[in-house]
Amino acid sequence: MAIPPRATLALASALVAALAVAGCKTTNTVTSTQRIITDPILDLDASAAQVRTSRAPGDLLQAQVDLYNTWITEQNVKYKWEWIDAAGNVLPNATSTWVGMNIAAKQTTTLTAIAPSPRAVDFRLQLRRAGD
Amino acid sequence: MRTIATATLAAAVLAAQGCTSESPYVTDDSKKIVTIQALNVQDYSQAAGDLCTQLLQSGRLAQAQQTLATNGAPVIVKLSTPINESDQRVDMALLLQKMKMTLNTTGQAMFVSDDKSAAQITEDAKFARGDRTQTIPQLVLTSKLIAVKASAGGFLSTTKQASYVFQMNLVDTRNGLELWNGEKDITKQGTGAKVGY
Repeated sequence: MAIPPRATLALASALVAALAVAGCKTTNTVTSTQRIITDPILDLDASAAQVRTSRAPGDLLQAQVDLYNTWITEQNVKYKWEWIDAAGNVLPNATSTWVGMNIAAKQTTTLTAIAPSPRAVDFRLQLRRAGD
Repeated sequence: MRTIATATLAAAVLAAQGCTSESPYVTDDSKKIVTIQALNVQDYSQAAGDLCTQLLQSGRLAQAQQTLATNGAPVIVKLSTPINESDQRVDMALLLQKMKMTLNTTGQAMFVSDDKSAAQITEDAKFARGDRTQTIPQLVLTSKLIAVKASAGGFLSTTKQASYVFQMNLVDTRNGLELWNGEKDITKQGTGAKVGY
């Protein structure tokens, strides 16, 4: 069966474009909850029920988040804290950085952080799979 | 046939350009180069953040502010000369500046300047207005870096490991007692440098 030249052209272009896109670094889509922004590729259970906040000495907001690795192998994760003021602005933080860690299979780990300013009223924890 | 070849080539060139349009500036710490046998810039951020959390969580700085400072003013802290016992040249200002910024923002601490010009100008200004008082730090923050290195494996494949341990102590200048002790170790392991975590 003969294929029309125009159809061949469209098919070839689509094939090359698809291959090129596959060769590019893929970007994971991100789902967002109120406080924890996690990469759906992570099999972590970080529901809001596992978040604790309190006030540390000096009226600084302290946050603890329990992360449970639901997967049967170790997961390499990186995380970053951000602190939010009453107006919803992210507060500047000199020590804010992505930190890497490993969570063993079926284990829970607790992340703890303290806000750098009494102005912080809320936080945001970003989680990504290490290596992305 | 030539049309197909031209269109395919054009699509490939456009797609390749799309893949290589990354900025040479690295703003995401997780994309910075990680070397095993040396500290990288993101290691200082991580250590400073962790040590600040330890210090603030202990409540000792807030307690010192309440007992030593007046009217809710920040407590006056002096940084001692950092001790570097690692085998590499390290500028501990990369750690200490971040800690100063964070602790200053909390409103609990204020640091005495280490700058010689600033100290001279301050003295001149005090002399000019007849001020004979001295700013005596209420606390001293000491810092030390230790490196512990190890390797395992054979001739063809060697895994290297380096631990960098930051130790800090907060000293009450009234009596020399240590109000707080902190430690953070950053351990890296691998066969060579890589990009990102």
